[in-house]
Amino acid sequence: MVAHLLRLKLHLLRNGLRRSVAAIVGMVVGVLYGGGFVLVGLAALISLRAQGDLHLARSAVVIAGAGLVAAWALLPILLFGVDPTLDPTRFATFAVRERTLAVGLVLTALVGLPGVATTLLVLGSVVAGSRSVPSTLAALVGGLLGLLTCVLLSRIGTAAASAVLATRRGRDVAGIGGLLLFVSLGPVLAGLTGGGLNRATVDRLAEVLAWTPLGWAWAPAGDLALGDWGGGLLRLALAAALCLALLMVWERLLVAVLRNPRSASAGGGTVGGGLGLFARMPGTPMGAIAARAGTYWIRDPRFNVPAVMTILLPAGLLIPGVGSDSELALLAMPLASAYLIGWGQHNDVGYDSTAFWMHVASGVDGVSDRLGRLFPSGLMALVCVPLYAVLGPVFGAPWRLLPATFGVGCALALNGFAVACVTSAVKQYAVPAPGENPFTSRPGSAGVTLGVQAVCGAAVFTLSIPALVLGVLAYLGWEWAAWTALVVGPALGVVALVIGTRMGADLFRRRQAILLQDLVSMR
Amino acid sequence: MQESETAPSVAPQVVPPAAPQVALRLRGLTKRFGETTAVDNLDLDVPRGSFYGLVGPNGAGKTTTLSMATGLLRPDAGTAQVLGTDVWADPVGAKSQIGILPDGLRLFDRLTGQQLVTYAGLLRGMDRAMVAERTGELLAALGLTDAAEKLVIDYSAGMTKKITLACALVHAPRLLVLDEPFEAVDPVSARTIRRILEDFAANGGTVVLSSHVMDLVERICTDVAIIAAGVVLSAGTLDDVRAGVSLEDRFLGLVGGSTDVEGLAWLRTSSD
Repeated sequence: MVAHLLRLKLHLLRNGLRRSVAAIVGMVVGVLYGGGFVLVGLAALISLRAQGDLHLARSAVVIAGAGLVAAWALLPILLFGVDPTLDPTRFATFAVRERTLAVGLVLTALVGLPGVATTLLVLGSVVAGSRSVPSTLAALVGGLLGLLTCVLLSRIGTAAASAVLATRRGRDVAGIGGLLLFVSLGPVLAGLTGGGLNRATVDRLAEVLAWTPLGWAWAPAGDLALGDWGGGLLRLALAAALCLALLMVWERLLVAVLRNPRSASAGGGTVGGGLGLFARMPGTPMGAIAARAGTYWIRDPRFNVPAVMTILLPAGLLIPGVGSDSELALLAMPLASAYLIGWGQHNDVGYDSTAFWMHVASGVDGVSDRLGRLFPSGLMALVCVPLYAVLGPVFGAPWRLLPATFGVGCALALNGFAVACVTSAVKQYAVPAPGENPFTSRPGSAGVTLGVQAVCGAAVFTLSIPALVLGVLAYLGWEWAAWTALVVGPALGVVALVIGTRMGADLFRRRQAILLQDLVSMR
Repeated sequence: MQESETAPSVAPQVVPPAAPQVALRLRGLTKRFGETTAVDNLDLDVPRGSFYGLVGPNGAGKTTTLSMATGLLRPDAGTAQVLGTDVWADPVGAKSQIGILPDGLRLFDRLTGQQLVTYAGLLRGMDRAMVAERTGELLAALGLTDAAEKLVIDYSAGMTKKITLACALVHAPRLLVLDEPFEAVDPVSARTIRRILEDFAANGGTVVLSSHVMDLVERICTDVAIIAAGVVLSAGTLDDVRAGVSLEDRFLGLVGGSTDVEGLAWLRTSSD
């Protein structure tokens, strides 16, 4: 059965690649990108073995290993999403033993680029720990336990996230949870930027981490090499116990999901409020699209969770800004906010999924479609950019730079919208379908996603160069540049938006059927 | 009857004198997906005022044909004309005369039923007062008034088909193109949908629908085309096409394929 699941995963990967060239390109990009990191990591691990400092080797492996565990636990939830092809609920109708399914699903998580990369790095850590026979054995066992911990944590995290997000209240809580997580990252960031890195802090950090669940599996090899048998064996036992506990939690979760599948859609009460936004917006195609977009931003977790993140994320810059008096961090707040909001709209049609047919069938004009979609994010930019621009000086950045940050912020937001108008009529990448967990990702689509995102980011940046240059000049002390940025930034942004809307409308008119076909094939 | 009272408001108004007698004219339509040819040089004429049924086995190219005829899918070759307007040369003009009920495509289902129909109307550039009036009438006619403020995602399959039909009708099209309008629909909803469609056709509108339920097509359609492997095997009035036998027999005769069940002895466990 476990072999069966592994084969299923391999088939899914292969068929995903067969489906489009873009998926293959994505895979290649992923291999190159991830492969680079892995090679650097392996080289570092092997050179740790080659040098003589046992303490350094232990500290480095512990810190890196703890980071790896944390990444596996958090990244699937925050960034890359859950692979829905092996969603446990899909197995609910099959008569598979739960224990077998639990083990099988954990092992399948290792098939795929992140799994292979991590396995290679764990092998590297065995090399780094191979000082003596006992230490090699400890490295091997610890590495295996660490690897299992990584995968189990990611499975548990995503299953828990899906469960929480399946209920409407859960979605609201998730937004707040995201905020808390984000705030808790603050001290870590401050510690990293403020404390500076020296040998003593590295060793101290490793010593602390080695006694946390993140580090239990990675320390024993170093412990044994240093002769600390008691600590090493104790930590090895703790790591094994952690694995066992996680496996039990995962099995418990899986059983809960399998025995109670799709209990989510808690009835269909009336929403009330009559036409809602549709009554308040102008009764034109553009007004209707704006109202629809606005309604989705309120009701659909695929929009409101990221929206909350987008609004709050730039506030994170207050931590280095206030904590270590970094003027640049404070000045960057409105820019980060504007960029995130503007650039974030480049895949809006993708979020319509195949419901986009209504726009195609109605023969709606491109300008209405392009501009109507920008309504909710435009509103967000209108509030957030000025707010963050003023927040900077309030917390200690010089007031004389306010016109510059505000001007550059406007430019970034408007240029982002301009780029979005064009790209969302050209190429869309797969996003979670309506009603799906907002944290799911489509297997094999990472390449297209990264490609489109990178191109859009580069385009926004390029268009904003004049404003950015003026901003830099203002920062360097040229008084006139700040006020020029205030005029030039928004002016060029408006020009870009007008041109972007025209181009986007024209592309929309010519390509709408092709876009719809793309969206259908992504289902 | 509530349906017949509301029907005039969604049925086509006055027919212009020089209106073409063909509501939908397809010529040489071709679509390939990779190496498979879904629709192969297909010709079809749907007479104005007819109730036209498109039947064919799964994968025959029905959905692909209807998508190309309505501007949702660009054909590799061929043309589609709606009441004399080329769908791909003048999409806006053609689309204003078509109402579509697609199969297998999503709706903006986080809107309430009322919001969705309003959205469809406003997208077509209609004014708000008229949209509001017609939305109310359509929801009443389709028996969805109580569900008007529920999210479409919480609708049953039948309700979803009905709300999509309301979206297709709100701008008073002359041609209705419906892909599997009766699939997964309960008998009560099916009857409601049928009445509205019959009213629509009786008042000069043209209905094209695809289905693989032969009985249903035989009961409600005036004209039929049998499609298989992307080609029209037979088309014309219902009586011409079935040529004296039942539509199902005619269909099976044309499409071929044995219907005898062989093997599966192990399924007959009830004889133990």
